[in-house]
Amino acid sequence: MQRLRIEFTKEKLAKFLSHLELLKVFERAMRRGAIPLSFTRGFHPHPRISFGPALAVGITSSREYMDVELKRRIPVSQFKEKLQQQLPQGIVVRKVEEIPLKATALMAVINCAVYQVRGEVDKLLTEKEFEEAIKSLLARNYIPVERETKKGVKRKNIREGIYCLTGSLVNRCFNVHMKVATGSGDNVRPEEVVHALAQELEGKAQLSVLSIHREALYVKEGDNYLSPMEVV
Amino acid sequence: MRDWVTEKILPKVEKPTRYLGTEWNAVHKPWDDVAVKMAFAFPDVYEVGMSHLGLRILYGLVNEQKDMLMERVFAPWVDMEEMLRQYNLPLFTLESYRPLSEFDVVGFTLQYEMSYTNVLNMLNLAGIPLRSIDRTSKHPLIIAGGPCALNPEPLADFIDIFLLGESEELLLEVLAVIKKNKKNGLRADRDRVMEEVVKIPGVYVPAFYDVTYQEGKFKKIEPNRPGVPKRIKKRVVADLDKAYFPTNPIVPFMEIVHDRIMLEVLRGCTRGCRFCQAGIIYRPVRERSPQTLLKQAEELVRKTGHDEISLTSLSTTDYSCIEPLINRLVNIYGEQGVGISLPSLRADAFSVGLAEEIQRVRKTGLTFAPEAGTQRLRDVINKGVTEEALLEAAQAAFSAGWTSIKLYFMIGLPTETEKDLEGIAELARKVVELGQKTLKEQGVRKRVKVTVSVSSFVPKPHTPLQWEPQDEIEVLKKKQSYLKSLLRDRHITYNWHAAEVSFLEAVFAKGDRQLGKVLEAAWRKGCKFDSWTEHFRFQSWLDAFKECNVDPGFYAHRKIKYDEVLPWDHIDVGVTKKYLIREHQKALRGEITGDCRFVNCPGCGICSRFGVAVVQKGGDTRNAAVKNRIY
Repeated sequence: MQRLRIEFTKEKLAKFLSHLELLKVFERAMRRGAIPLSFTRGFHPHPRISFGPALAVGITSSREYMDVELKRRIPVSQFKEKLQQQLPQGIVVRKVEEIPLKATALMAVINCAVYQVRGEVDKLLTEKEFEEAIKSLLARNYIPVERETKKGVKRKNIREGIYCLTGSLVNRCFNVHMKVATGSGDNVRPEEVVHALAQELEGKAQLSVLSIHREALYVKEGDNYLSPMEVV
Repeated sequence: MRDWVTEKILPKVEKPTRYLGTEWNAVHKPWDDVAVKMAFAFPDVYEVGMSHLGLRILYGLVNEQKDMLMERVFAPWVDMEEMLRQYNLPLFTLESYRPLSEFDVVGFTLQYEMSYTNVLNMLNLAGIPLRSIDRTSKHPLIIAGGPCALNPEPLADFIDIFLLGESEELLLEVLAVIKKNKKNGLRADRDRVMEEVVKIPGVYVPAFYDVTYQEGKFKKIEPNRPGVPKRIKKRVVADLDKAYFPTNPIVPFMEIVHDRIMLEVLRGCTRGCRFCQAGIIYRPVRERSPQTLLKQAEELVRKTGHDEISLTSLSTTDYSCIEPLINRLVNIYGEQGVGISLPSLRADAFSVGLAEEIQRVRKTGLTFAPEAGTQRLRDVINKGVTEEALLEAAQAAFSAGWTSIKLYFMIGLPTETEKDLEGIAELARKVVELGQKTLKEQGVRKRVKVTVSVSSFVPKPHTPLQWEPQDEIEVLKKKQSYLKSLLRDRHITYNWHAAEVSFLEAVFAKGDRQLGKVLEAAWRKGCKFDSWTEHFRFQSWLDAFKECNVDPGFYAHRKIKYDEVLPWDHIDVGVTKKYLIREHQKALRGEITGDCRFVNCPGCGICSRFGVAVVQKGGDTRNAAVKNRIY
């Protein structure tokens, strides 16, 4: 048995893959590469592959994570090479590390994400006005968002989950950079932050998002941000 | 164009992975290095089309040729179509994102009648004139094949060239003619190509034939120039072991309908169900050898990475080497997490035993198709299933741990009476009782579930029942609701098909060229994706018939006489009309006909007339269980 942690990109056309499709891509790539996947037992055997927090369709990412268990040990460099040969464009394996079999699952440790959002403003806005809006948003201690759940619309305060927010505006193009809570506990979506920022502009301009990119995922421990590759 | 669509359109449509074209094993050939370019068009949505074995075969075959390429295009889903129309973008292929109009050939596969409006819609989206007569050498040649091409007449106005039968060999011959006629990279002269390809056996060029009608009734069809055959023979591949079969098919990103390896173990079925068109048009039975199949399976797993191998054919449990094949496959692939599956089962204990052996996952129920509720009616349609065998199969399934069973039936079959409908309900109830008893004996505390799925009989061309009328919609509906009243049981789920759809299927299955204008009128009224309940617009269809002054009932509800000329008589699928008439008469007498693999040759005509033969790889080693199932 062997457990490996993989850091990979999801860019270009691969951004359109849903979470389930991504899982299939990896499972099939490994089978084509004759990588000895380990399977769960029982009536529904499935490969022991698990991911970090899911990425919404259409969002690109430079650092996604996945753990996989193998039946037999193979050298890490060989695994990396074999896997990469079988992956479609846009998915690049950046790093592979062997981790203990009992290491905590990615979903349980990853709690922070960094996003870059690019978009356009519909009216001329000064850079200062834009930066002021960010400042005043951060000055709030209550930023409500509405989320549709099975039980109806729920209100939630996302301020606590915004750790860092900066932005710039050049002509009509804005660029917002944020470090926010993610994962199964507290979770902040980048669109929600941009939406809140747009409200902060109080009608001076509308913001429309053109692209969202996830730059990194972290394990946040107090003020320390560790890569999931480092925590184990 | 690709970048623009990727940035502006794909983020706005449902399931964007339908349109990426960069799936594993997709072939992207350098456009300018290839002489002949063909787009394979499937007139339904991606996940349906990608499940089609014919596409996998022809895509691999053509792309293996040095001088040819094939790219794919599917009917864009309605949201994508809206985008294409809004931005005035032509329909394009997935591999190169080039408009269909840039290809030499666009080939449609005709798998079911209810996809015909999508053919027109796709031509329109591609900016290609709908009618053959309006096209010039500036446009691609529009060709079509598949089972529905064996009654090509309803589409005769829109298709330049039909390919009849199995096109593994035929398609390359046609593309070679196009290649020969291409000069300096320019498109081949359209008339010249049509004149040359018509000499190839299996090619039907509808423009070279004139149809005569008498009082609205199809009277005859005749060549309107010399050198054109009066009857066109379908093509048959003689030896499946030598035939091309792809071992590197495209692996889709999205989940498709048949998301697995399709290993074709045999082609054809001679069980002889009298309503079944596939059982006639894919004759004779030709098996692949286990050696070939094992080799193909190995390559397929290695090159696709799929986790399931489906042993496909019309009737896989009839394969003479099925047990040794399954044993080997399970031994080799079980360990790698690759499962083996059977697409359909004959209703007998032997088949259930096989399913039990391979079923890694018991997620799905088992499906059997007795088709009719009484032995009398099953004999009429020559469905060689007895109640005893079915109950035995059900018993075996419940004992093996299945708790849900699906039963397929048909209503509106010739000679059907109330008793036959009641028989459906009785059979379903017997299966429920058997299940309850078996589960109780085994101490299983799960509820038995029996699903009864009922479709309406659609008389199909080239079958013994082609002369029979279809029940009127109202009659079918009455029968459906009668069945509903009989099947009120918390263990039984009852499904039925919309009678209106079956009616249109019957009209187009047995239609002639007069339906071309109706099809176009219906499409203009917005009909498309007719096999999708949410898009089916029956009233628009009725309006189209009315507007064109065509009575659809004439095609569906009329009993046809033996001496009438049928609109598909000029298409020779191998069996003789004499055989079909004999079978029809036996049907009406309730007499059964045996399978030529087990009893005497019923003289259908295919082997002697087409110089082919039944190919069985098991020979004398065929196991006793199979033999015991001979009726």
